[in-house]
Amino acid sequence: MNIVTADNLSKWYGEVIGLNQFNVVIEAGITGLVGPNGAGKTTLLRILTGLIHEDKGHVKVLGEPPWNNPLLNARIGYCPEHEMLYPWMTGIDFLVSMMKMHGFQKNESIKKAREALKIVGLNREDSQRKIKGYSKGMRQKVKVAQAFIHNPELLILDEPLAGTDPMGRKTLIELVKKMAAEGTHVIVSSHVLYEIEGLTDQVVLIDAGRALATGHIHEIRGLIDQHPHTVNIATNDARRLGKTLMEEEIVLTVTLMDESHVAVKTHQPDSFYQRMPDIVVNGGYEVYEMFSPDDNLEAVFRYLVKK
Amino acid sequence: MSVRQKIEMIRFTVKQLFLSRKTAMLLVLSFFPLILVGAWMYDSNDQVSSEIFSNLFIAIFLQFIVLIVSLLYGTSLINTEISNKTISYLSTRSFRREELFLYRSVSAILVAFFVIVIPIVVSLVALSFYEGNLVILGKLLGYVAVVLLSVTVYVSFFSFIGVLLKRPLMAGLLFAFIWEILLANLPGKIPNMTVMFYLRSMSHHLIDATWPDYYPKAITTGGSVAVLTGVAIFFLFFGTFIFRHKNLVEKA
Repeated sequence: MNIVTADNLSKWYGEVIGLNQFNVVIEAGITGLVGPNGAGKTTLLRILTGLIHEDKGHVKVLGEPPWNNPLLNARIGYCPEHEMLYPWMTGIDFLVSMMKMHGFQKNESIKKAREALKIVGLNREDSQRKIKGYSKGMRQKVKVAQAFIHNPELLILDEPLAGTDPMGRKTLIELVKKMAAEGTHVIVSSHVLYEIEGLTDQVVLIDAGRALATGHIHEIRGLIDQHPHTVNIATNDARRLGKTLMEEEIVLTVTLMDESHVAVKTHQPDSFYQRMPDIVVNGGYEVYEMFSPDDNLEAVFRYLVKK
Repeated sequence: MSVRQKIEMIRFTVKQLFLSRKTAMLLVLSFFPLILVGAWMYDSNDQVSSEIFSNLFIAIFLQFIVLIVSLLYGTSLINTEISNKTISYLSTRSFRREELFLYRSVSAILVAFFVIVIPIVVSLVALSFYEGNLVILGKLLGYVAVVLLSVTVYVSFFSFIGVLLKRPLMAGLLFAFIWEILLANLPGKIPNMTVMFYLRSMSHHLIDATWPDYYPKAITTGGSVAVLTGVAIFFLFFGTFIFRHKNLVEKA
């Protein structure tokens, strides 16, 4: 079953190309959309959700054109990349309102909103506070919850793991996997291949508005591993965390950026990401942010484009 | 779009507008004439007649407050959602874009109406009791009708330019102060091309507002209502049409 078919899809922003004769067929299950910043991932997802219109070509989502299609909207859940929400609302009010705008009754909307907030890990007390007082992580939880609250057939997540802490990342990956196991199709974008790797084997590589490759993630893993992988970590005690990380065999180098930031290089990023939650918990660290700059991925893309 | 969805869209937008900082500012602005009326009652030995109040209504409410309130609500209705990027939550719900634009515009009309009509009602009630004369209060429905129709037309127009232009505020200000105030006060037939002319015609018939000598003849209330309703429908229709085809994100 084809979830998305894009045929010669093009989109320009003035003289800047967003998508350039983009062709892709995305099948059932979880699909990762991977590419460096500015590759065209967000443009594609905005076309798939009907936020913008393609300038050329054709696209179908779940067999239907996405532009101004309310019936299709009811079957899709979209979590945008940005953090913007309505600061004057409480988390639960926002979700209830989004449900009611999908046509659900008040009681059902409240019930579903409470369930969704429980799933993403936002407690009842926080959900009844105004969003303007929410942390980045709390906003992310509400944003993800509004995407899946109406039980969509297709969940579209734009860079959902960007800037999340290790626990938030783990929760989100588990949630997406659980939803996929229950039959929801998921398209998730990221500029960091290793984030996607924790979710799916199926990826679409995108760069300069074109789909470079579609297929199994292991086929490009070899290419990535030729380049050391950098992970930047924001923490309460960078010096002590750096020392701990130096003792890990999988870590090549540790650079102390300042008292709250440390940069780590590793040849085994997947093992590193698996180890991190244990390191954080055992050492009693507070990790505010963990992200990988996209240097490695860009190197691979340059390699692929040259090919 | 089901009735439930329509109600929720209106409830959501009304609450959003009422809780915005601009509403607090606009309420202060629209209650300002009330202070004038109070000072007038306190200072003057003469009675504040129905005619004087209706002219105060034209000069302050119709030619200033109605325009400013409608401008600020109308132009930001969709534009702010796009610039704040929150439009992605509304436009991915299960209703058509046309409905989204239409029901947000209706909500803005409702909010603008209440922001303006409350101080007018309070002023009229205060004046009537102060003077022990219910003649002014008898004109209440006339005032309400003029305010309702004026915000309907102006919010429709400003919503239209809000989806048409990237920065609609400047164009809106030019329309408000050059077209609707300057041109509307010129002698000859030029004022016939302004919305204000028809609102003043209505005001002349319904609330005894003075009709300027240099103006063309006032048209009937029915004629004014027909023209103003037509203008509002025209701009709502074209606003809907533009919003239907609009890219809701300017760049990637």
